[in-house]
Amino acid sequence: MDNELFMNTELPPPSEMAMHFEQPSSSSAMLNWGLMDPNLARNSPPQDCFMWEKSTEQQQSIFDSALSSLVSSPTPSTSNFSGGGGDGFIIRELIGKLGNIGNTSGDIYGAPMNGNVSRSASCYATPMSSPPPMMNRTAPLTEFSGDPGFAERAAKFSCFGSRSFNGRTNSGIPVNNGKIVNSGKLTRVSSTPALKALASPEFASASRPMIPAGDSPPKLPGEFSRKRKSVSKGKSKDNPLPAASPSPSFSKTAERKEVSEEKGGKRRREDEGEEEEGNKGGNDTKPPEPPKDYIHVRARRGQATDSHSLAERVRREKIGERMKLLQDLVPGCNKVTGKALMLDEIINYVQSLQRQVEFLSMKLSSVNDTRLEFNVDALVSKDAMISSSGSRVHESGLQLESLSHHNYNNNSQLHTNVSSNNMMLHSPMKSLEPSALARGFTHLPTLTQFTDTISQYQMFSEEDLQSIVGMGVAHNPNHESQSQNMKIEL
Amino acid sequence: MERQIINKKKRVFSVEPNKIPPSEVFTRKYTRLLVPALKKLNMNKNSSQANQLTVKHEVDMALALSAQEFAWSRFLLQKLSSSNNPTTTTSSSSNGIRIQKRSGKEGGDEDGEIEEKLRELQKLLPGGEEMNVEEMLGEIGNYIKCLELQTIALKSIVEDTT
Repeated sequence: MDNELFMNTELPPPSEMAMHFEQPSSSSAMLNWGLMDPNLARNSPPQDCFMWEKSTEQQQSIFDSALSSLVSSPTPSTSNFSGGGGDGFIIRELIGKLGNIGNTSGDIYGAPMNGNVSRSASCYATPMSSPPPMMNRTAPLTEFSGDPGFAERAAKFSCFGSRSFNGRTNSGIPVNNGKIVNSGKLTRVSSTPALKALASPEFASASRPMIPAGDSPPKLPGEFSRKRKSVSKGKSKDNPLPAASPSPSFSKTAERKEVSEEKGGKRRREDEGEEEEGNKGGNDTKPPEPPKDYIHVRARRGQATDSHSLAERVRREKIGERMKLLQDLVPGCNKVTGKALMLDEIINYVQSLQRQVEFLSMKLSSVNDTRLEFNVDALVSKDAMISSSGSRVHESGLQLESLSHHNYNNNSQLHTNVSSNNMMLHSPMKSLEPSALARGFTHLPTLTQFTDTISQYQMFSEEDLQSIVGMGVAHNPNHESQSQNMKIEL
Repeated sequence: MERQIINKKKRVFSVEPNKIPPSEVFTRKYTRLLVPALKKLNMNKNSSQANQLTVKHEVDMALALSAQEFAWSRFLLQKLSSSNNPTTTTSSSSNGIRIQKRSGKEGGDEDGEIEEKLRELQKLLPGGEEMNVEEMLGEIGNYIKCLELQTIALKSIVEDTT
């Protein structure tokens, strides 16, 4: 019964079957075992599919027979599983059978498998809430390569599949890591969906023998340093994988890239898309282990996964975000596209502002020479009104005019709605001025030459404020003209 | 007027302490810092030859003190306090000449161009060169805001006194 599972279909041998089934099957989520083999789907309910890596025929046959029995048996029950313990049962069964296979085939699945079975079985005890965890669980079972380290990997994947395992990874990883390191490659697949939900670096490291603790360097063919990102672009995958730098700041999930690499180009876009979604959910779970706060970034498809380039990309994106914020701040930046032009605009704007300040200070110095007395309070109140009504220099002209009108009209209506920005009226000003003053002065912990002057103004009384307001009102007609002037000056 | 204020010494606390928009807070702080300082300058000045620079100094000082929650204000204070030489204060005019010309050397390397401009921006911001680029971009945002408010305040002061 060589390849009996495959005989039913015209599909090529398993190595070329890079099919991707990400289907979330109708009924049991657990059967979304990562990459489902279409062949198996034919034999059993569509969900039971396994990814078959190219391995020796003999092993394959063994696997096939075992799997077929495995697959067929639990199918009627699995179809009813809606999650939770169902998967655990199936997986335990499968793992058990895997253990048997190992025993029968000899060295492949030895004691470690059995040892891992219990561990993995315990891993699945956690209830599954969403498809990604389901797929995580299926991870171990999907790969039946002839690798001697398969048992460890399977167990590891299974363990990592469950999020609850996060707490147990510490114990689990070291044991498995050592073994997994020896194994050649971590295979595929199912790991992709499985590992996508793994938000902790330990998973990644475990899957690819890299531990955030800085364990043994990855021995996988082409370490994929992966950073978790929010969006994965559906580009053509596969980027050259540099030897993974054991930087613990990257959460490496071997799956995606590894599989793609091994598969030789057949990658599941949907898988990755799913992965990303699952990843987003998975990223919310805070891995309990790493006390270090690393920024987990997922590499995008078609982009270099070099640690440096990833860091560079993160940095560039941060800069891009800040630039967008600046765009709103600087007038005229909206029309400009591109970082360079925007930066130009910003630079020019800052320079113009600085020049304006310089010019005004010169003017002030000249005024200061001639003018003998300052109407401080009036200035203060007026400035407060001005600032509240329009803080943008380029908008100040228009805003001040409109708001000054508005202020006068709604003098009686507006209350102490201080939060409303441009509605600073006289009545609220009365109550808020002293508080603001008091608060404002508390903000100045270190005053050099202003301490003496400020202390004078620290306490305002109601009567004084009323007088200020009165003066402010009296100055309002001037205020309008000044706003006009301001506009012109601008 | 000041005497009256001192005599009264009545304190009023606000009901909602955090509702005042920061722009207002800044402007108030600024004017209340600057105007008395200017007054002081005015009163104290006899024949200060460097009056312009002193005023500029006071202006910058007021700016720095009004925006103490920002990193650049610290740098500005350092600059101002370390050397009372007014030439060390933000002199935008010198920078202005240099930045207008766009360096054609970096034409091919777009990222290099951007880096170049970021560096220019860093020079504009007080203390910008000591920060990394991301931090600097954030600080530039509130620096611009404070500059705007400062401009408004200065304008109103100038207008009021003329």
